[in-house]
Amino acid sequence: MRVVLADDALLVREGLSRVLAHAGVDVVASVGDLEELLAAVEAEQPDIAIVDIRMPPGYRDEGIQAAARLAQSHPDLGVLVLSQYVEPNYAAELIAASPGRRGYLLKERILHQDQLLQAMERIDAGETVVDPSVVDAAIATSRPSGRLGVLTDRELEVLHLIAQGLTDRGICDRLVLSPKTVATHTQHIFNKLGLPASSHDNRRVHAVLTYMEPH
Amino acid sequence: MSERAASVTRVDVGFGTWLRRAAWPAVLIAGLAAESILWRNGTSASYVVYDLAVGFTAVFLSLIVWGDEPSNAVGPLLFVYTTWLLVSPVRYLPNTFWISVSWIAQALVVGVFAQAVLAYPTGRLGNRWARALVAFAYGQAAVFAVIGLAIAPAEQLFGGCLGAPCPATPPFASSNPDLFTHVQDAQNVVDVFLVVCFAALLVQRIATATSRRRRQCIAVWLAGLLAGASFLLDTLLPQGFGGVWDANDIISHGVRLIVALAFFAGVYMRRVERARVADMLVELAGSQAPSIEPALSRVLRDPSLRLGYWHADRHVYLDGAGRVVSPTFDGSTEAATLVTGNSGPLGLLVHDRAVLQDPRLVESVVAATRLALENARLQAQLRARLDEVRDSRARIVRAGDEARRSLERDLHDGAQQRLLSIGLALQLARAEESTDMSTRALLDEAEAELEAAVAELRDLARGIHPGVLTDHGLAGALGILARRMAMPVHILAPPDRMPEAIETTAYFVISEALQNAVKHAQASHVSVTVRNADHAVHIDVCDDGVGGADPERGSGIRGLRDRVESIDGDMSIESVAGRGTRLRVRLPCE
Repeated sequence: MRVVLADDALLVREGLSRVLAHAGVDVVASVGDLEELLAAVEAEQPDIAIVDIRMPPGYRDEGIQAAARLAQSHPDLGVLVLSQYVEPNYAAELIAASPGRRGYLLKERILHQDQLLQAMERIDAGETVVDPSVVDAAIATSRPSGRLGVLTDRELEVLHLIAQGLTDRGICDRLVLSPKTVATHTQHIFNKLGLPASSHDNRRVHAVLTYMEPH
Repeated sequence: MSERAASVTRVDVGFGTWLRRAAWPAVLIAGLAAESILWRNGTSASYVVYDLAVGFTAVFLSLIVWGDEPSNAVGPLLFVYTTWLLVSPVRYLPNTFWISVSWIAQALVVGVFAQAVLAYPTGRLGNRWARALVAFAYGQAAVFAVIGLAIAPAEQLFGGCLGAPCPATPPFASSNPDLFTHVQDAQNVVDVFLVVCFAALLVQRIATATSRRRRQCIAVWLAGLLAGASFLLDTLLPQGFGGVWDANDIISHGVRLIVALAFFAGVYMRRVERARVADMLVELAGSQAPSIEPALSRVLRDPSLRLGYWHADRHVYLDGAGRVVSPTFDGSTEAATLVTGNSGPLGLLVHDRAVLQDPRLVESVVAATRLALENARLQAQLRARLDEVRDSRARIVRAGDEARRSLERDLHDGAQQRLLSIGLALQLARAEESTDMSTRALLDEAEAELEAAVAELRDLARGIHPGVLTDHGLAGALGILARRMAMPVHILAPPDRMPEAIETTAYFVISEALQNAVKHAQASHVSVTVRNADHAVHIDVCDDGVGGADPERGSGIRGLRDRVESIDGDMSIESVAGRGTRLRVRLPCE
């Protein structure tokens, strides 16, 4: 897997680059800001860009902006945004701009090599990954008032796992349910949320977005 | 430029005052004595009463006019005129001395009257035509009186002595009735000429006066014209065609009363005007500088009035529009009055010269203007200070917000990154082949601590300044705030972005209100509404808690109020025990 790293903190960038190299990941470039990132992606054509959410020049949400811009120029590129915010708004914004091949992880996940690598693999496989803490934050209040009020507890549980980026298969394993039951649940969720029956993945992304909408 | 305002406080306690005080009883006695002459000689009681009533009224009005402006010559002149008309029955005494005195007085009083009218209201005659006319009136009166006394038979001087034989000889020389008739004809011609000139002067004054002057003088001038006409009638119509109750007599008495009333009207108007200045002060209390000029103009009935405010830097007087105010000095109608305060010049009034007529009015106007200007100046200073204080409070709050933001940034971009880089180093150390099991266990422990530290740091930074507020605005930040609360919070907020200061203030106000609802109010539900209307953001936070919060107590609420007021907003708290708490905040925004 070819990876470009973008983080303005040199120590983190170098440390992460060494950790990834040690795990056998090919870090083809590591850069410090948004413009360098775009240039490196253009030059190296990596599989995944791992991007800090805050970078020069604005130190705001450059990582998410980068993901949105790269979605236009490099639709096959996966982007994993590392963030210090446990705020669903950022994750929702990231996914809304480019459904698929996107990940939003809290930055301290880099200290867990297995979690980081797993997220990268899933993104590379075309999935959407959202940090469980962020999903928890989203679930805390959405229930009574929002559109999710129409869902049963079980359906919410399934949606929660969809939001974390799990496939139907993964959900079966996690909840110990038959694939048929899970398929029924997801179908109900899509219907109740009024999501169009276009492509299966698109509906999953829309469901996640609905889930993350702050009220 | 006149500084007379400072000098008019002189109190008149001299000879004039004594004379005026003595005049009241003296006139009363002299009047009664004079009328008793008529009474004793068989004049009807009704006529005597009428004569006394009119005469006394006119004299006492003249004394009021005199007393109002003791230093003005008009007062004594009017007093002499009205008093003579009251005591003039002495002319009927069959006595050479009284006949002579009366004859001369009767002639000269015409000049006194002309002088009083033409010198009104200043006491000075003004132009040379008026001076010439008055001088001529006195002169011809004296000449004709002396000639009359020399050649007229005593009974012809006043149409006969009442109730007694007149002295046989004329006062000075031998009588010559034919010549006296010719002299009288000549005097009539001169009288007509005089009255025409007098009327012409008055008409010219009426035509050319400024509006304020005309208002001030019109009653006296018209009374002067009326008296002139009555004098002509008296002169030209045949004398004595109806005894003492004849029409001429009644008319001339009426005219006398009208003249006195006209002069008195001037006094009345001045008094009213001074009272209006006092009213103006009340009106101006607390008003701003621009309203002083129109108020003065209205009170003084002087549309030409201008008020310049002293400009200490440029050393000029400027009006509200920034134009230099100075008297034109081109004619005689404009005058300027300086208004000075304790700390130097305050303003300059440029006004109709006629205003100066009444020194006490000028004094009141200057005092009122001084107060109003001082007041306006102090208010302006106070406003400037308040602005300064408000600006500095806003700056302090902004600086605080800025410091919070930069602290949050430092935590994220400094401390957190360092902790993470240490964590990465620990991972690499653990991956080393040479690391033994016990070291690995230690490394795991260190990593767990590290992760907890990062999480704590994140919460700390978030409390200091939520990054989501900067990136996603108030609605986004409130959604997350609500999620963190231990109770249901219903939030209704528009997704629109607002100015940063407003978003930050709104966020901290709502955050504090939610904390209070949890900590103190024991609320089970809170609703937050943010509305953008009428160029302001309206925030309404309602809980169903215990209520009874004291808005004046608690540093939290005080701090909120300071923060809200720092951006010109206002805040109110309704908290009735048992009925929840409602916080309402309005933050103005362009």
